[in-house]
Amino acid sequence: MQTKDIGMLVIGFFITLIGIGIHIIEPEWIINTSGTGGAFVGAGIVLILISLRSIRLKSKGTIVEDERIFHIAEKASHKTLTILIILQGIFVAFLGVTAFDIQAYPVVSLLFAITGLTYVGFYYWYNRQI
Amino acid sequence: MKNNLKVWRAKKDITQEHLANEMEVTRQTINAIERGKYDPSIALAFKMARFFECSIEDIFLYDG
Repeated sequence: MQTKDIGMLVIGFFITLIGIGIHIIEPEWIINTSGTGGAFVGAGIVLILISLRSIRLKSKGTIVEDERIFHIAEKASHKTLTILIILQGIFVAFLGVTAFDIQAYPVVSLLFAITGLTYVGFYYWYNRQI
Repeated sequence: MKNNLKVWRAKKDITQEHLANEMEVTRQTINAIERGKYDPSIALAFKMARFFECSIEDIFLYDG
């Protein structure tokens, strides 16, 4: 087991604990405790699962990362960034023209979801192509 | 870039999996190189040439 994997596992557990803590304690200074706690728990669990998968594969001697995978990730990241910049540009322009008053939380959540989905989509697309 | 990696692999009578383990890459990478879908890095090309005891040009052909 590599130090990097252990570090990721510990961070994953720590983030999950923060999320659970927010759910239980429900601090007054957090507007949406269920959303915030859920986001932390989700991120923590994803990190734990990724770390465990990596540890399992490495222990079997399976190569998890290589230059082709990095190449695919590079292309997917570039495409995702391009699309996000265009989307955000359109969005900012729309807000500038209409002076539409919206809450930051759902917008940031939406952009976060679009980022994740776009990246995953492009990653699988390039994985099939290359 | 064209290559005849498949021929060299057949000469050595090894599987994609075996070559991938020797090169410390995934089997999918070897498959992508053989199909001409992915051009390997210089380091990987040198490693392959060393493994097959030939020059890089014997395996990879730059077709411009």
